[in-house]
Amino acid sequence: MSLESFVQAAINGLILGLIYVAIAIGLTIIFGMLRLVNFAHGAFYAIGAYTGLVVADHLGFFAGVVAAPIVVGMLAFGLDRVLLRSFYGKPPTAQILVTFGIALVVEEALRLIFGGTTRQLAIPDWLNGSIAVAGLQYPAYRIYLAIAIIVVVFAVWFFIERTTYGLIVRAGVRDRVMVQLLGGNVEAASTLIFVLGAALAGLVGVAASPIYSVDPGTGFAFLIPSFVVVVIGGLGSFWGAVVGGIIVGELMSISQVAFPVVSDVIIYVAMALVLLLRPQGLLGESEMIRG
Amino acid sequence: MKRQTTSRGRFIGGTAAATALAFGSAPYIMAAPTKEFVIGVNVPQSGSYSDQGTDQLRAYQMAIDEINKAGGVMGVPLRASVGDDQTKADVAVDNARRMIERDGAVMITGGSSTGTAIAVSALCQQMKTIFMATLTHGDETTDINCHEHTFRRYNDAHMSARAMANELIKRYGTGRWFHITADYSWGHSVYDNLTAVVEPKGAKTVDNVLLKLGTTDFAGALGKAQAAKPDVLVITEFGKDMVNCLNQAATFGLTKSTKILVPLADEYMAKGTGDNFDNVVTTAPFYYKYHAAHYPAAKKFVDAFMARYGTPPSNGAECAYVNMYQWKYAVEAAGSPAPAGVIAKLEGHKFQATKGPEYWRAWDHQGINSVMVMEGIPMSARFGDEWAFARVLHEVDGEGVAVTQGQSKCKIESA
Amino acid sequence: MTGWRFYALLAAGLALFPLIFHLPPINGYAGLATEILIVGIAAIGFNLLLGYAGQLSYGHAAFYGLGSYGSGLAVLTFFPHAQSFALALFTGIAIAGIAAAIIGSLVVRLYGIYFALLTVAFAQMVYFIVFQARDLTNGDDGLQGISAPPLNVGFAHVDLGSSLPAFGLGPCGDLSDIKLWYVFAAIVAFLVVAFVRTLVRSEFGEALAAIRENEERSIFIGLDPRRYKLAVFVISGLLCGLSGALHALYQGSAAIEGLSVEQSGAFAIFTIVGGVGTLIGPLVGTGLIMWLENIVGGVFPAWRLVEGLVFVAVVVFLPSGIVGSLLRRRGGRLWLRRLVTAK
Repeated sequence: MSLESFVQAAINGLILGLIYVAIAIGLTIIFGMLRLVNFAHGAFYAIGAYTGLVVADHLGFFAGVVAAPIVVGMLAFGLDRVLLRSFYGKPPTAQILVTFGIALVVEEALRLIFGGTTRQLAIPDWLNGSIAVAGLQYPAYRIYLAIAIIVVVFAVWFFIERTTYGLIVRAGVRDRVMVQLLGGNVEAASTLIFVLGAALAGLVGVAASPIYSVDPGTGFAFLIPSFVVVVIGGLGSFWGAVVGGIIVGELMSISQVAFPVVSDVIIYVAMALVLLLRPQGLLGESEMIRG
Repeated sequence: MKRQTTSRGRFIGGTAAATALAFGSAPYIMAAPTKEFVIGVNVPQSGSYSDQGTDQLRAYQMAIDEINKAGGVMGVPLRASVGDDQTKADVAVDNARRMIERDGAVMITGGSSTGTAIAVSALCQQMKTIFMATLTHGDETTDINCHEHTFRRYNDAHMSARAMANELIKRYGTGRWFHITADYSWGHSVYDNLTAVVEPKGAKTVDNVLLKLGTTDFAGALGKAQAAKPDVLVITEFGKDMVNCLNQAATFGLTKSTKILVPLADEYMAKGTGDNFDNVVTTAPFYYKYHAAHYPAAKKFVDAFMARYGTPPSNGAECAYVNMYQWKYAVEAAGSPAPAGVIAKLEGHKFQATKGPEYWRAWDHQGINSVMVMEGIPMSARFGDEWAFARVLHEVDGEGVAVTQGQSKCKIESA
Repeated sequence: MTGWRFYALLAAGLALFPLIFHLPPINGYAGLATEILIVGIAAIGFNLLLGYAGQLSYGHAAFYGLGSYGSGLAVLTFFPHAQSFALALFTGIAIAGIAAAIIGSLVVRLYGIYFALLTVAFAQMVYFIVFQARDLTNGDDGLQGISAPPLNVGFAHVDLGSSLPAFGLGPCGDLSDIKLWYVFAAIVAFLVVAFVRTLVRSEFGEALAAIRENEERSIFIGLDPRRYKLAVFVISGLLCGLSGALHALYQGSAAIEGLSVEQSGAFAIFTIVGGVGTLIGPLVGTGLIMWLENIVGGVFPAWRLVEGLVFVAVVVFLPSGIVGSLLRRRGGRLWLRRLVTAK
């Protein structure tokens, strides 16, 4: 494996990883804050992608990118109020099943509305094209996407670490009841987190759809790897999602170049190792995972 | 709990209402048997090959309507029982089984991948039903997996590779070849045939990246290709997968730096890739623009298709259409749709439909017909017709490029 | 105890199923009825793990798939000269069982979402191994052309593809629509349900219930939860393997999709809709969903949406599934309740 192809793969892996980071952050903070295992997270991604497609058809690419997280956020809000509220803190089995069911309904609704064929979002020409990176031509859009995701990740981090609301969120992860007793609005913070996580997934959905074609099954296609990311990083840990995402992206990408045979399965081996040896994940906290 | 009781009652009521609605609105209740022949049409309407499947369905519907308007087959009208195989073999088999067992289908047709074709072919053999395979390109369908009840008119990979041979050597030379291949029977079949043609002439295969059918992100493979700096990049992908791969290859600068070969293409794939298809060499069994200009029967078919649907027929659609009429011919010649008679009438049958003269080969049930070798042209050269994607380089007679009986592993069951 | 009554009703139900299935509004066909029973066995296995041991696995397709590849390869590759139905079946079950033992021993240490995710990880690894062993398994294309050898019953060789004698049954079709495959599948399904019922009502089953209710306390009274959970995991894996092995022989092919996460999800849907924790719930659920998919699906494109909505509705409002809540509704009809639960 030449140095050139390694560098190529590393860059690919970084960008792939950042996409996973963006999805996984939502997943992990939803679990951390709401104790909700969200098997519908992939569905948010898919809805975002399709919303982007529809809006972009009429109003252009950027309108699509803006509209997607807003629409997904609103849907998530509705879902939270109507249904999922009662599942926070419930046994994970019930949560997995109901969110899985929701994901199923979303996939089929999308299939019904948009048909089963795969679509791709068209990028405006000035974003398309190649950039020379390390002497090789690299798709420009992927670079822009990576930068955009890094910005968004920092924005989310800033929100959680530096704002009052973020403080309530972090405290609520630790001790929900205490925060309520102290007068913090945990309910509102919970809903906000759910909406934020979903909107983030929706944003990635639309932003990544020029690269990964979209079909109704896209939600599930991204769901399992997203869980791999949060498990490796640590369920509930923000930086765990970041680290886990990059690791997963790099593993997938570099193995494709170095050991192509294992590239499909290596992330599952990694997840299994983490679950068996350090179930709380690399950056997660040792909590009651045995009960 | 009180809440539970009321919602349970509502739930049961709701389900009953939904079920009643499903029944009421679905006109599938089996009518009293008026004599009709049921044709099982098994095509992908979702997944990577859905464009191809949907277009085939259009052709089937048009053919069946035409046949019925003209009095049916031996006076008996045809009815299609349509299934979506999702480009998955087990779903295709389930559909075919339902069409045969419940709907009493006398013939199964359709398909857009060699994987599903092989599976359905095995089932049809077991259930003694004719299978007119449409869009399947891998050798296996009429080679190692051939069956007595299966007929395949579409070109196979062996034919395509050898039809392209001269063009491949002349144009792509004997340099370094990098392959991106769909990891299933068809992909392997094409790869084996291509390398068998070009390697003896000195071409060097640098790498063969296998990717699962349905892959959407080709960055890894394309990055590798870019780093390898080959002379030729072969994209053995089909349908939406090919569109993604080629479009992504453009963003990696590969369409400019490397010569690209796409062994099999159709109108939908070319439309999806637009300008990126410029200069790409490919093959197909039928190209509407060329055949309509050279063969009157083709013009009739293309005009009717365009009048009905507004888009030209892809090569899969043409194959579907001719398959229907061939089956019709065989049934009428044999006097009944019973498989034994139909098989006997098709074997060796010479005819001319929408292409040049062709025939069904008796020992493997492969349709021997022409292979078009074409080269993509950019949108600017298509004169406003976005579907007119190519320039025909050669129309190669099928006889000379098809696999010989000595080379083939086909052993038809009864023979 | 309603032992014999339960079995009599179960037998009657299995006997009448293909006939009722054929009736006009339902519009099924005997081949599908057979497939429902075969796949339903896997759902019963899944249900053992979820309903009685309280563990949600998202990787059981691995055992189902290994069962089908096992029996398929036994016929095609491993023992092509033996042509023995029993041997093929045994091979499939054995491979699934060994995999279940290995995977089970590793996963039973974990709980909840971690347990589920680890089962996914292992199932994906099995998928990958089967896919990559192209020379043996044909990769994406799967095994084709598996012709089921005749079944040896005593001295007779029974070809399961042959039909019952012709006998018109009016709107229920003809008796010859039903092949011996259905009879065989019905017998196997009957035995499987009987096995599960016996297991659940035994001391083993009581221990299982104790562990499910309160694991900490069960340790105090001297049970080793891990051993029981492993046992249940392996048994449920064996049942899924049996289902897969039969399916490959019936279908004539083994598809790689049988190992996918989607397949595992399907078992979950069948079981939960039908009634988790009940004996025949999984069969009912399998029947309903497969009917929706195959029959209604042909003409009503929104069938899968209906399936998803029903699933969500069941999980939220009707957690005991169709069968489970049918019982509770007729709270007073104890005999009916005893009929379908293990109590």
